[in-house]
Amino acid sequence: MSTLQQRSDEELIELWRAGQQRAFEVLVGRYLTKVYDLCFRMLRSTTEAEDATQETFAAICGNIASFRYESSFSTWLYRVATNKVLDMIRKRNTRARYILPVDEPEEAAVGYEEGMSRNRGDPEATLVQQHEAETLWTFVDELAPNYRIVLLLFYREELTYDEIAEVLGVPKRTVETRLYRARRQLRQKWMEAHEVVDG
Amino acid sequence: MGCKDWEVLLYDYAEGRLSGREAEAVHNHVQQCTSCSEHVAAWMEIVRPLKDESRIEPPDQLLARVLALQSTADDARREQTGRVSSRQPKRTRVEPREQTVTDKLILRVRNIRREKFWNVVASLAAAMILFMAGQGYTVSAERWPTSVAAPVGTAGVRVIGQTMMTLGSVVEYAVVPFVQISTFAEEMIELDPREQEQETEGSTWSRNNQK
Repeated sequence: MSTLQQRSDEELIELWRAGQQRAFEVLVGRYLTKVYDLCFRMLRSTTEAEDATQETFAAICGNIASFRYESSFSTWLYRVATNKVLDMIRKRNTRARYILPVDEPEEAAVGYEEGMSRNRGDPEATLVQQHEAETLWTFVDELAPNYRIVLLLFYREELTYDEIAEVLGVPKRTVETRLYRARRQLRQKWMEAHEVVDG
Repeated sequence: MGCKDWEVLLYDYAEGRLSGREAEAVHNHVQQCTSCSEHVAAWMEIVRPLKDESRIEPPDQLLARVLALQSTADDARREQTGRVSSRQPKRTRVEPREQTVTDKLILRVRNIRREKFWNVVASLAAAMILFMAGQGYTVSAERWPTSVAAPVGTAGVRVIGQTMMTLGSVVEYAVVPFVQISTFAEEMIELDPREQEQETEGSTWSRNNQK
């Protein structure tokens, strides 16, 4: 008899629906960090990332009874999370444009450093590599949200073009174009930075 | 094929996502082209942190908050289930109720209202036109008695104008109460108190019926 940890997402959902609370805990354990990581890398604020993650799981809890397996559970989960973060970015941009000057940049900066510092325990990583990685993530942050989310879903969550298209509700061709542009812009920024440093 | 054309494939090539003849073609080009070779090398550097498996860990209190969501969802589900089960007997109890003559009459009115909705609208429009035409005819006959009033005479004008206006009023005053009665019937005929509550939330009628 397999343990809950070994069960597939779909099996866990069925057990959860049948009232086994432990199944929900296993699902949360499987995806909480991934969803939080995605939210944080999109929002760059610990507070907002926490809110987005909590709201994502709240939406999942509220709609699990009506989940019909039209897509995989992970695709559904990422779709909800993506909608939350893009919505938050839209609201933040509107607020910044019309009401407040900037959405607490200090908090975002501190949160970003805090978040990154949690993963700096790798003894093998050299200071140069860490610096390179941090610079790269700064460039990723500078990309438009539509490009950034495609990049994150492709490289971090390892979703296919079709899955990303499903998550974002756009044609596969759009995903390909956005990924190409994201890669290109990232490379340009990286090249410019290195030319400046080299020069 | 210039370097710009190869660029689309270089990212996937650098990440080892190409295979077969496509991979071989890109490989041959990269071997000969310094610019594309540098492009590939740069992208391999860039993509490494992107694919880094380390994750930003969520704070512990977030895990606790998310796990607590389940009990909230369970409570909501239980509440919903309870509501559904309490709703069923009400429907089965009320549905077989024998219809009184008043019920039948009201049902008839409601059916008429549903079926003849556009007729009601048309009647109202006709009443308005009739009333306006009657008034218009009377006024124009008084202003131009020789041309408008000549064929029927002054008395005739008065009769025609008044008749049209009266007809318009009658239709209008008959239709308006008809619509009101139909609406009232719509409310009265609802046999399921819960549905009634949903439709007319907070209405005195539904509150009284739930008691």
